[in-house]
Amino acid sequence: MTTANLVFSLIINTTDRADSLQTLLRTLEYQSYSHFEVIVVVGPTRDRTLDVLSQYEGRVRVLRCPKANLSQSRNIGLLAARGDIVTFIDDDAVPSQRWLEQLARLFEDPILDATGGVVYLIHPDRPVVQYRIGIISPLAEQVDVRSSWLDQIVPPGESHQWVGRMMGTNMAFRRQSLSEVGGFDEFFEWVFDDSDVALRLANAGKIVHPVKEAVVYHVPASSRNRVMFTYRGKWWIQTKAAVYFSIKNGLAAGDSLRSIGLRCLHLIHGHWLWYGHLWGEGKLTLFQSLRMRFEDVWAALNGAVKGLLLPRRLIHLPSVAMSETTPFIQRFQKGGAIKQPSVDPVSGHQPLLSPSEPPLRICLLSGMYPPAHTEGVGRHTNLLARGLFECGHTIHVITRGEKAGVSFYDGAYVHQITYRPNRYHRYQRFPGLYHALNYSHAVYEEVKRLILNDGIQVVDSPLWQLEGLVTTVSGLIPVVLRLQTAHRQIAAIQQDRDEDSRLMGEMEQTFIERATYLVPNSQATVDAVRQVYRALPLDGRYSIVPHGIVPVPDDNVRPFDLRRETDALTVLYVGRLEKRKGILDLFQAIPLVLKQVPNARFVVVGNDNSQHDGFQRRTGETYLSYFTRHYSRFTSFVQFAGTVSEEMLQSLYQSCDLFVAPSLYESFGLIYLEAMNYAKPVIGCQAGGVPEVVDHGITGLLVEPGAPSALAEAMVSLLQSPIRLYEMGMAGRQRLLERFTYTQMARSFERAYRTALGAFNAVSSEGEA
Amino acid sequence: MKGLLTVSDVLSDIEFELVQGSISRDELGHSIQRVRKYQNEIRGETIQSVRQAHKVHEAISRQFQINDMLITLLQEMAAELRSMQLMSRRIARISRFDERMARVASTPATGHEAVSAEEVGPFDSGGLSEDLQWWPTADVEQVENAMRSEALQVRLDVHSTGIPVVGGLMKRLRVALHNLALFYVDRLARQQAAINQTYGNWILRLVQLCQQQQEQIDLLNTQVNILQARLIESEQ
Repeated sequence: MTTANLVFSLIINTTDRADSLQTLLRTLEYQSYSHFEVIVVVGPTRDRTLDVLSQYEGRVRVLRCPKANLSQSRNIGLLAARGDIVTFIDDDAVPSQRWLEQLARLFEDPILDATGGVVYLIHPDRPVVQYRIGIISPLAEQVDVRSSWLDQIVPPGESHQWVGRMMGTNMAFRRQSLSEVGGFDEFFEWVFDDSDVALRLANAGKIVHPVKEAVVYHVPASSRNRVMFTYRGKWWIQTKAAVYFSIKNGLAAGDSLRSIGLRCLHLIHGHWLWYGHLWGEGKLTLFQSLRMRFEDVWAALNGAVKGLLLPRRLIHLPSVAMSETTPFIQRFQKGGAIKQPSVDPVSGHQPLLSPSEPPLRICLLSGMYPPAHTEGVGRHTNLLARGLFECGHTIHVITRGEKAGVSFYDGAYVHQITYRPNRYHRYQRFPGLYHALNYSHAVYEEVKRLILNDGIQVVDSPLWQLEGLVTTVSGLIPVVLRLQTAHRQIAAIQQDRDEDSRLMGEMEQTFIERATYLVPNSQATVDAVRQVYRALPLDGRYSIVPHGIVPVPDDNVRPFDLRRETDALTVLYVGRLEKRKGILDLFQAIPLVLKQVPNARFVVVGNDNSQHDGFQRRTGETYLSYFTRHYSRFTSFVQFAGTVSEEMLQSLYQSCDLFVAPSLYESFGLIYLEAMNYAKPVIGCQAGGVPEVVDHGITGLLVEPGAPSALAEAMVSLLQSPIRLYEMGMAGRQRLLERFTYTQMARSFERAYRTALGAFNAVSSEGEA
Repeated sequence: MKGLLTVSDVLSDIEFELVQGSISRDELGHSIQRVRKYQNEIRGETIQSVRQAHKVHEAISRQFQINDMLITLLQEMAAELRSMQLMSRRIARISRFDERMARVASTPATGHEAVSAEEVGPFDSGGLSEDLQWWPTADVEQVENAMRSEALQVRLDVHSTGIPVVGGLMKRLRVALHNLALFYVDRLARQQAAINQTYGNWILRLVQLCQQQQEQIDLLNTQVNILQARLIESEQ
C-alpha cells in the first residue's frame, strides 16, 4: 500500500478544553497530508466544546463518551474509525506540519503495527523534550526520553523485558492490529493506557517502533485530573493504574509475584517521598500531604485487587469493518492552497493580517534570543519573528540553550539546542572557529529535523558566528543571510590579527558567497562588506531591508513636555560599554556638557565589555573604574545601570529627554529606533548605517565619530532648546511609523525569502536535469 | 599541523562531517561495549541460574533481552549505513554538477576544442576508478584460498636424528609432542578458519559491490560525457 492510499482516522478525546481543541483543529488545516478524517470523542463536558465543534460541521465526526474515562473514549473512537491507521493526539497538543506525512511514510512498511513520534512540552519557563523513543517494562519502569535507540541500550531496572512505547499525546496504530488486541483496557481512565497497549501489542508479536520524527508540540492545559503548573491533581489515579499495570503485565511476562509486589511498594513509596518533599517545600499543607498518602494506599489496593481478580476490559470489533478496502471518510481539509495565517498554539491567537500568497514556513537562526538575551542579533531576530508571525507565516527559531526543548515565544516556536564540541577537532587550536563550526553543525542537524517534521522552506541566518554555514554548504535548503557587522570589521577595530580571526573572516566571506540570498540592513553594510572583503561579488542577489520595531501605543509615547519645569534633564546611553560604541567619547563629553547644562543627568545602560574589547588588557581597568578614577568629580551626575530588564529598559527610554549613542560604527542602530519610538531626539555619529536611520537636523543630530567636543556641543544645543527636544522627538516617531515598523520589515523579508526560494528551486531543477 | 589552513580545508572538513551522518561512530562503539559488558555480567548469572531449574525462566528472559539489544544495534547500523550511502551519493552528484558548471563557465565561447568529451573533469572513469580498481582477479583468488580450512592446516614435521640408540626414542617422543601440539593448533585453526570464512565472504561481497558501483559510475560518466558534448554543441 503506498502512502497516498493510506487513510488516517485522527481521534481526539476531549473534555472541557474548548480553547485548546479549537487551536488544534485550526492547526490541522496545515497538515501536509490530506487523507484523513477527524473524530472527536467528547466526554461529559461543561464548557463550549460543542459550540466549537459546530463550526466544523460536515468535516468532523462528533461522538460522545458518557464517562471521563480516556481508554473508553479512545475505544469509542476506534470503533467508529474508518481509516487504515488510527492516530491519537491530545486535545492540548498541536502537530508539526508534516506529522501525518511522516506517519504515513512509516506505515508504508507493512510490518509496522504501531508507532509514536516525539513530544515537546511547550512550557513557559522550562521547555523540555517530554517523550522521544521511550521504552517501558512490564513492571511500569520507563525511560521516556532517549536520544536514539542506542541510548540506554542496557536499560536500568529490574525487568527482563523492555518494549518501545508511545505517548498518548502522539501515537498511531494500524487499525487492524489495534483491534486484534482488543483496543485499550478501560481500567486505565487516565494514564498508562498507552504503555499497556504497547506491551500487549509487543506480546502479540506486533511491531511497535516509536521514532524520532513525527513531532507533536504539547501545550498542557488543566483538566479534571490536574491543574497545570501546580501540584494539585488526582495523583492516586496514577498509583492505581501503575499497580494494575504491573500486576497484569508482570504476570504475563512471567515475573514473580515477589518482584511485582516489591515494585508496587516502590511505586507507593516514591509517591510518599514526593508528597513529603512538597510538604517540606511548603507547596502542600500537612493535611493535603497526609490525605494524598492515604488516597495512594487506597488506590493501590484497588488496583491490586482488580489486577489480580478481574479480567481486562477490552473491546471486540466486528471483523466486517476490517474488510472495507476503500472506506468512505469525511475529509477534514478543504481543497485548494492554504492561505490561512498561522496559529499561536499557546493562546490560540491568529494574526490579523491575512497573507495574499500561501504563508511560508521559515526558520530563523539566532544563538542569542529573548527572553534570555535581548540585545543585538537576538533582538532583531525576535522582532523579525514577531513581524513574520503577524503577516501569517509559521516561524521556527533555533537558538542555543542549556537543555533541548521547544517553547513558543512572541509568535515563534523557539527550538533550544545544546551542542557538544565533538567534531572538527582539527581546529581546536582556533577556539573561535572551532566552536562556530560545531555550533553551526548542531544547527544543521536541527534544521534537518525541522525540514522533516515541520516542512520549513527557508532558513534565515545572521552572518555573525557563521550559524548557518554548514546548512549552506549542505545545499539542503535555501539560506538567506542577514548581513550586519562583519567579523572582519570588528577584528579591524579591535586589532585582532591572530590566525583564528583570519580563518573566521575567510569563512565569513565564503558564507556570503555561498548563501542563496543576502539581506543587508543598510547601504552602509553593503559598502562595508565590499570594502573588507575586496572584490566580493554581491551580483544583485541582495535587497536592503532596514530594521523595524514594534511601535508602542500612542498613550505610551512621551514627547518632551514644553510646559514642564526643566529641573533635571536626563540623557540616556544604551549599549555595551566598549570602545566601538563610543563610550570613551561620551566620558570625555560629559564634563563639557555639565559645564553648560549643570542640571543634566546621565544614565548609562549596558554591560561592561572591557574584558573582551581589550580595554582591560591595555589599561588594567574596567570602563566603570576608569570613569570613577578619571572623572571622580562627575560620578554623582552619572548612573551606571548595567544590564537591565526589558521592562526597565523601555521605562528608561520612555522617561529620558535625550538619547545618545556615539558609536564609531553601527551597521544600522536599532537603539536609535527604540528611542524614536517614545518620541525622543537622538544623537549619533556620521558612521555606518546611522545616517540612514537618523535624519540629521530633523529627528536628531549626527556628529563626526571620535569627536567628544562635537558630541558635547550637540548635546548642549539640544538640552538648551526644549522646542527642539519636542519637535525632533515627534519627527522621529513619525519617521519610525512611516519606515521602520516590524511589519514593514517582515514584508520586505518575505519578498526576499520568496526570491531565494525561487532561485534555489531553479538551481535545484537545473542540477537534477 | 603544518602550513596555513585555508577555506578549502574547512569546507572539505564540513563535507566530510556531513557524510558522517547522524549517528556518530562513538555512539555505536559505546553501545556495543555496553551490550558486551552486560552480556558478560549476565553470562555469569545465567550459568549459575541454569543449575537451578526455577531460574531458567529468568535466564531465558535475559537472553531475549540481549537479543533485543543486538537487534537494535544492527538496526541502527543499517540505518546509518543507508544514510551515509544516500549522503555520499548526494554530495558526489553536487560536486559533479559544480565541477561541470565551473568547466562550462570557464570555457571560451569559441573554444569547443578546449573542453572535449574525454577530459570532462576528474569524475571520468579514469580519475575515479584508478583508486577503486585495485581488486585484480588474483587478489580474489587469494581471498578464496585463505578462506579454505586447508590454508591453516599444519603438517607433522619431525625429522629423524642421527644419534644412535636413543635417536629412535627421541623421534617417537618428538612425534608425540608434535601430535599434542597439533591437536590444539588444529582446534584453534578450525576456529580461525571459520572467522576467515566470514571475513572472506564479506570481502568478496564488498568486491562485488564495488565492481557493480564502478560499472554504474562508468555508465553514468558515459552519459555525462554525452550530455556534456551535447551542451557544447548547443552552445556553439
